[in-house]
Amino acid sequence: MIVKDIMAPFELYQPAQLKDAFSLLDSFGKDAWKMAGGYDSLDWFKDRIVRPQAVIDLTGIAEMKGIKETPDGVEIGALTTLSEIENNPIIKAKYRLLADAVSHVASPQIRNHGTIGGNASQNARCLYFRYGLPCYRAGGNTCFADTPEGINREHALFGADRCVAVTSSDGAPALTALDAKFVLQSSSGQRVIGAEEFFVGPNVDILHLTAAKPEEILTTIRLPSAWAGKNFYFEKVADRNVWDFPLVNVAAAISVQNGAIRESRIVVGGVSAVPHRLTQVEGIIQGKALEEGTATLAGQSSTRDARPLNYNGFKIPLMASLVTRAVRNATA
Amino acid sequence: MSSHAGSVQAGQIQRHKLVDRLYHWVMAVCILTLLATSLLPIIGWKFAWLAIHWVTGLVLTVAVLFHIVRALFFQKPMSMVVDGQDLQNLGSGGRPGKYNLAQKLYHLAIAVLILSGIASGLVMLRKIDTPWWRRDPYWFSDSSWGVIYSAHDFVAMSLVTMIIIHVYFALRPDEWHLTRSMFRGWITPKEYKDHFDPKRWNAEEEA
Repeated sequence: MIVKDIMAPFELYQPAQLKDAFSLLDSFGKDAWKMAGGYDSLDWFKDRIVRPQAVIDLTGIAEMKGIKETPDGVEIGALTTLSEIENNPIIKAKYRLLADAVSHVASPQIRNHGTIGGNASQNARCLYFRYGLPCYRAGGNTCFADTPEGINREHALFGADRCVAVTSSDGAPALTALDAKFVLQSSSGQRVIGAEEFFVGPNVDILHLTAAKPEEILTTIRLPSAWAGKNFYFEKVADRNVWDFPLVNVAAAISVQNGAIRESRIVVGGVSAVPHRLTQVEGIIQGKALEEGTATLAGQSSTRDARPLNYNGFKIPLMASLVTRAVRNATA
Repeated sequence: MSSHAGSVQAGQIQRHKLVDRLYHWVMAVCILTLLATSLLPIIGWKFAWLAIHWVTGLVLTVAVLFHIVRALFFQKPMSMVVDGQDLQNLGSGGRPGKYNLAQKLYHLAIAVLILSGIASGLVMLRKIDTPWWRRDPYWFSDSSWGVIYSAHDFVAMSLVTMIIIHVYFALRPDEWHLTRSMFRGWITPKEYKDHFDPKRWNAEEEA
């Protein structure tokens, strides 16, 4: 039986410095839970599916907050709130794609407290997984969604490997389209990995959606200058216009030269466990004139390898339409 | 003493033909690959392991089927079966035939483990998408799947132990003639005379 809305007791730690957080992580190991804005964490606690011994609230660590320009682009602290990103003049001027994407997250209240690190790292919303059933992602040996009776209208079209859950982040596709780099730090050092390495599918790790190790903290997200000020487009389709996770979203960054597409990065969310980058479509439209025919071709090509489940076939034309609109309407 | 088989020269006694050595090493590569793809992700080395794992499992299945047919119809299967003489030799210290008691028992254990691993693995294939079918988790009940997964896992852990034992004996200096024969196929007449009972293993007749 799953007890709802009553958290199990835990010890709360609120470090003010990163080194203290690392020390706590090293002390508690797998019994620790890292928490930023808390919107993903509190669900797990209230449902008693996650029962950590120690919760490490990172929100007091000042060095993980804020947005600053660097010679190579922009650095965003992982604890920067979605509202700050949405309204930051540097982001709005150079990386409008990210500002657009995070402005679609949930509701204003949630964006005021939710962080970019938490948004990118949030866990899957598959209802079977969230309900606490022993599915693959929970360490079991069955997927309850990919069955004849399974409710899977929100699940994957691509990259399903036993688990068919998808990423529900609006920020993740935009960060992938902008070729963001993720800085992961631990007591033993730091590593910087690209978005396509940070987000991992079930074929690589069926228990997690990111490559962050338990002892690591995502401290910073770097946006390279290569994609600053390009043509951008973000669109999200959900069952409700506010406070809802995407059924499908699309983020596109397109570099245009003399009316032709020089380079592009088109990423679709809600169709795979990772932000689904359309590298084949990017190759097809490279060098072509930015016009309606190219946009249509991109849309038609985008769903070629899709494998729908029983109830999510509607995502195929939806995704094709969104990709068409992204290429057609991407503007500087 | 000479042999007609491949690389074996005059003055050498053939112990393993090339085809049998190839089978042994194919099986070794398969099992090491299966263990690596199943255990490395658990200890933190994350990669797309599943496709490599089940394809290797199918290769192992074909290899084992080949070995069974070859052993039953083209070799002397009784040479690997424990008999009364093996037990008598325990006390008397008599020389064995082609395979000693420890080797026979090891082979028996490995055969049971690998056949169990293959059987449980083939059933588990039904739970994943392959080029030939879509997954179906409803073949068995949850508890039955749990037994099958546990059996498969038990085989994996047991194989790790068996490989450690196997490598230990293969590296022992007093067993080196056996290890060499699995690489090159032969032993010397002196090794044959010192370690084997010609009445129980007639090497010339077998060659």
